[in-house]
Amino acid sequence: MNLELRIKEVDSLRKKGIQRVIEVKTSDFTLSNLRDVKEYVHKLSEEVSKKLGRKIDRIEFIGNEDIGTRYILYRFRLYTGDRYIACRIVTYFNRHIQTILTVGD
Amino acid sequence: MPELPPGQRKIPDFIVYRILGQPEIDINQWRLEITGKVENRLSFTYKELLNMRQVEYVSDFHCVTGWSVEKVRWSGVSTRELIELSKPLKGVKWGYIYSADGYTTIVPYEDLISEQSIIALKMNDQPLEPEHGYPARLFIPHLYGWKSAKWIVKIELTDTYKDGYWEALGYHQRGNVWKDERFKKI
Repeated sequence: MNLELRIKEVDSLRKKGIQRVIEVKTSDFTLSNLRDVKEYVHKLSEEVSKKLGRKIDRIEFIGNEDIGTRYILYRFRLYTGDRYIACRIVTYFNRHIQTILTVGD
Repeated sequence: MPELPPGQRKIPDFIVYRILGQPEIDINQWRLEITGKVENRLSFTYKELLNMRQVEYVSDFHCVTGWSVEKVRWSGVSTRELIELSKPLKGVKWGYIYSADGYTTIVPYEDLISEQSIIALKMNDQPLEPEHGYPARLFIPHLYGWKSAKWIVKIELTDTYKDGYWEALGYHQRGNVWKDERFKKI
């Protein structure tokens, strides 16, 4: 699995204290269950750590929810000290289609 | 056309989202502006909108999270008629929408000026409730609800795409409910 992380400055989330998002470009792959998703997030966190030059101390699963009947949104937090990077992963019929991370002030 | 778009389920009433809080609106100060790539920058008061020709129809509302509310009666001013008054310049591709709470979203121009796109002033024959966007919200029935911005204050016509609030979090550039356009491809 090849992960390409692209940082984008965003104005539209500033009111939430978010200045940048990281879009993850990757090939499609299967995430059948939460265990698969957690393994993926672990690998992703290593790439995020390299990209931002910050050590990820721990990963927290926040929750998941259905978006319509075909998509599932998984949410995690990647902690660097007492701050965190929010991570949103979307699957479509259990195929990964999107990962976006948000980085605060 | 099927009763509901793909992936949607009916529920009996709206779920209210106020991700940036409930804005306080002073109706005497409130304006709806049309700016950007236009010959005439325009600004409308609530009273001016109420005095314009009102469009009325019944349509379902579809939230991207998967719920739909059926048979809502909407009335308001045709977005196309408002925008035509501003004389849009050639090359406009998008409408960037601003709300009083700081929320933003982006809508393809062709959808923004589609026949049923309105600046809604009433729901079910009553002025909008504060939670539903009083004094005015955009409503475009064939797009998911996050495009139908509540508490709308400005439409900026532009030739350049930029993410609004939910688009920055991965949601689709257009959001057509019949095409299941919930998330964009990265």
